[in-house]
Amino acid sequence: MYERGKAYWAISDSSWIDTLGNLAVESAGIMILRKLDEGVKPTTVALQLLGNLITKNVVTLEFEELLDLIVHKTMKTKIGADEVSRGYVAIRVGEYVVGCAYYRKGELISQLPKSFSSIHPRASELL
Amino acid sequence: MRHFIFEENLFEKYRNIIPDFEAFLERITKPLGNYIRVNGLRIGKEKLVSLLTSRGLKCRSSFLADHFIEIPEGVQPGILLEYHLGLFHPQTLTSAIPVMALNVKENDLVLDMCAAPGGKTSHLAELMKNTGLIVANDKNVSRLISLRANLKRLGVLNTAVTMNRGEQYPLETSFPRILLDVPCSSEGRYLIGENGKVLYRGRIGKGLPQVQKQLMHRALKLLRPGGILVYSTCTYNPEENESVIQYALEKFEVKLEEINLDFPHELGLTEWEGRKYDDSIRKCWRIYPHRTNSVGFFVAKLVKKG
Repeated sequence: MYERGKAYWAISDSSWIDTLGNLAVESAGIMILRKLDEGVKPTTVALQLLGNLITKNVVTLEFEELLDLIVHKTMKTKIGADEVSRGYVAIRVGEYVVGCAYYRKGELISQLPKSFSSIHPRASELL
Repeated sequence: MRHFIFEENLFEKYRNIIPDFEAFLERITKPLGNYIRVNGLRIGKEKLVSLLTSRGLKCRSSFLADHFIEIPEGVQPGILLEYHLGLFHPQTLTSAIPVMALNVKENDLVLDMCAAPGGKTSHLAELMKNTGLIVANDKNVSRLISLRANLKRLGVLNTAVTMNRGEQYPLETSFPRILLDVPCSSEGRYLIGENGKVLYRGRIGKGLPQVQKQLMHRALKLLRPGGILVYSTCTYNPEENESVIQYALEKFEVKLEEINLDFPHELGLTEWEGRKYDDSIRKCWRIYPHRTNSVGFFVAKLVKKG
């Protein structure tokens, strides 16, 4: 892992890493954490890669609830403060962690990528 | 027999080199197969098929069945959550051949010289199991945006991105494996519409073979002795294919190797429009849509002596 600007990145460890010293590299590996005023926030892909290794502050949604969160950007949840802490939570659908939301007083605020808006609610009808 | 008109005659010059030419012309009047590559870094094929089937998507086996699934024509992958989770990548079937021909292993060092948008790069990363190092290069910012987005989505951790014109790639570092999938006229992607017009047209320009030779020249200077370079295009034009390989054989101490894969193909040409090519160019592969249900391709595997 290495720090670059306002983020942390991860790249596979390799004996070839020193090779990069001879090249003008635009980026190496994947960004996994962003530095914010209030701390660090994992990126969507970092959460997806960590998946079931994440055991705390995880909220499981049904697929339809995920679509609701994508469309409306926020949703009420019955998850209580004893189950998750205020702050960033991982969103799980089925067995996959899909991304991140912000939990505050019974509400989830989407932090999912804008690209998720192309997920069609009735994909099976289109297929 | 169909009466072909107008731009279908675009391919008439290839009548004697494309086998079963009428079947070829017929095939390119219909959409080619719609394929996705299973991202083995994140999921196995059987599990992905199960997930997609549960969403109502009909999945069919194809050539390269361990890695690819054929899905119905017209399905846009972006409508599926599984796409956004990086579990698969929409990719033409035949574009896997250059990657597989390079025969990468875990912990290798690889240069992908014209990498955007990253389908082949991510396939390399999968075969390397996210180990070693891939240097993925392309020439401008807009191309790097799509490259980096795909690498991120697919969870590729072993790749660094550089931005150089391939012909001017810095020579300080040499590579034991190089993938050189060059810009080309993309004839392999052409489809003919009902009115006889070409529905897709790639770059046109007599300057392409010159650019391709410049890229080949630089790539072979970057290749280590004993290293492997795979050259590929998605066009049928021998000026962009066999002529470039002939140039490499004449200018550098390289030889062609057999591509040992189980996939329908024809042999490279040893002659075109009066010009003769080295006999070893028969080891190159010509891949056609009427044989594979996918985009036409040319693939050559070169080894640097020493």
